[in-house]
Amino acid sequence: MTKAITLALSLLAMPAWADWQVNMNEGVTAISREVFDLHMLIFWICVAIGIAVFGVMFYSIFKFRKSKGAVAEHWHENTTVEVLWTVIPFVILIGMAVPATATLMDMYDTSEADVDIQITGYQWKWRYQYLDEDIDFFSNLSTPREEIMNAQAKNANYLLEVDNPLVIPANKKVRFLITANDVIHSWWVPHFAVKKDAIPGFINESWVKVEEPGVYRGQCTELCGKDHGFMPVVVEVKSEEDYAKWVADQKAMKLAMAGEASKQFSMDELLAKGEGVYQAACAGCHQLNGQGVPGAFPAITGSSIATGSIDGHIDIVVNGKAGTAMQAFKEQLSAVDIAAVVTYQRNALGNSVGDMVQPSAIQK
Amino acid sequence: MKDWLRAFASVFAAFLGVQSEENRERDFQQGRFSVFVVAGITLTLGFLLTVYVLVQVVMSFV
Ligand code: HEC
Ligand SMILES: [Cu+2]
Repeated sequence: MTKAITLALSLLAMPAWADWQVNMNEGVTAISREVFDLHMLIFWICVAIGIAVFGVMFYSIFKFRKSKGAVAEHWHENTTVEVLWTVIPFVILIGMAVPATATLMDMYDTSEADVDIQITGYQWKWRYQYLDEDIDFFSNLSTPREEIMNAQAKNANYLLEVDNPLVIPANKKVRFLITANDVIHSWWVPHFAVKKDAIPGFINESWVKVEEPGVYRGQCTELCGKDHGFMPVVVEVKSEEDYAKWVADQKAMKLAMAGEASKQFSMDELLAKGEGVYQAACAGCHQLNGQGVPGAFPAITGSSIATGSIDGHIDIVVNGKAGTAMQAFKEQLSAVDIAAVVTYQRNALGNSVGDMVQPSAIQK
Repeated sequence: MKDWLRAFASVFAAFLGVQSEENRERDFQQGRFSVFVVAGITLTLGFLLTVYVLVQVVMSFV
């Protein structure tokens, strides 16, 4: 017996249990800690109720068991008891609603924000637009396809990594205006405790104020189609100085990109660049090898558009095709990226048309 | 008058979901249908008003 107890205790003390976190995160914002405390409060209330109810039940079952000669009493009603077991839960529920309402009111108070960012869900990526700063970019999954296809070992942030994370300043109130472009998505970062549906035609608001710089990861939490599990959220919280520097860098990059668009590229440059763009923005549907998914996404290999007139090819990439999953990429990709990916599709993936297009010829 | 008081008490008991068999029999033998309807509508409106006022009071703390 003592042996069994020692064994049980040593199991409990095993360091491995540290990784065995089953409770929710405490998070990194005042709101998330409030939510966590609320969760623990309600949890302990439920535990107490559970112990009381099951305690009385098991005690009665044991104490008044048939083998001891207990006989069931037949009675029909007891108004006092019935009123009691109705009123007590009612009072408990109201008691729980008071702190919950206080937390909800804090959560919904989006007033007096320092930074406003519009978040738009797309199939299957997020778009971040900084409303006060002319910054606007897409955030795509950056996990290599090889890891997804099990050809390579998966890294620690498998499916929780993106090319361009959302960057926000620490210790500032950041307001999010959340919407969607196609179907309903939902923007969620567990450490912030906020989860908001992104609904086409609606704008939902939420806010965060993170004290500690760091990288926080989340996911889309509204089933939104084939790659629902492949549109993670990554938020990089920077100190105020680093954030200001990042904003300046973004603006410089935008200028540089405008300069790039008028440059002449060689076929090899376009192909090299196009391969990266294709893998990040197109392969999710048209597949890495260009074979597509029969019945859903057409093959690029041998496609009449990708091997036909280059104008038609550019048009479908720039403007998309209304009513299909083939979206307009003019907002998402730069002229350089579009020229590169079109050139890539025409001269790789089994196609060899031989022509190319310069970024300057892309009319957005 | 006593009819009305009893009807309100019974409707209130119905809101709570608890009523004694004795009162139920009395209501079904002596009660008038119209009195119960009026009591029901009045208490429902009263409940809605209470929730409304409660929300207004809570929101005034924002
Ligand atoms: C969300 C899925 C999806 C993504 C991502 C996607 N496409 Fe498409 N694409 C489609 C669908 C669906 C069609 C077929 C549209 C139709 O019904 O004609 C299509 C058609 C095309 C066609 C015409 C093929 C043909 O023969 O009809 C080209 C070219 C094309 N896409 C290029 C691209 C490029 C370049 C990218 C990346 C920048 C891309 N697509 C990303 C879904 C997608
Ligand atoms: Cu989604």
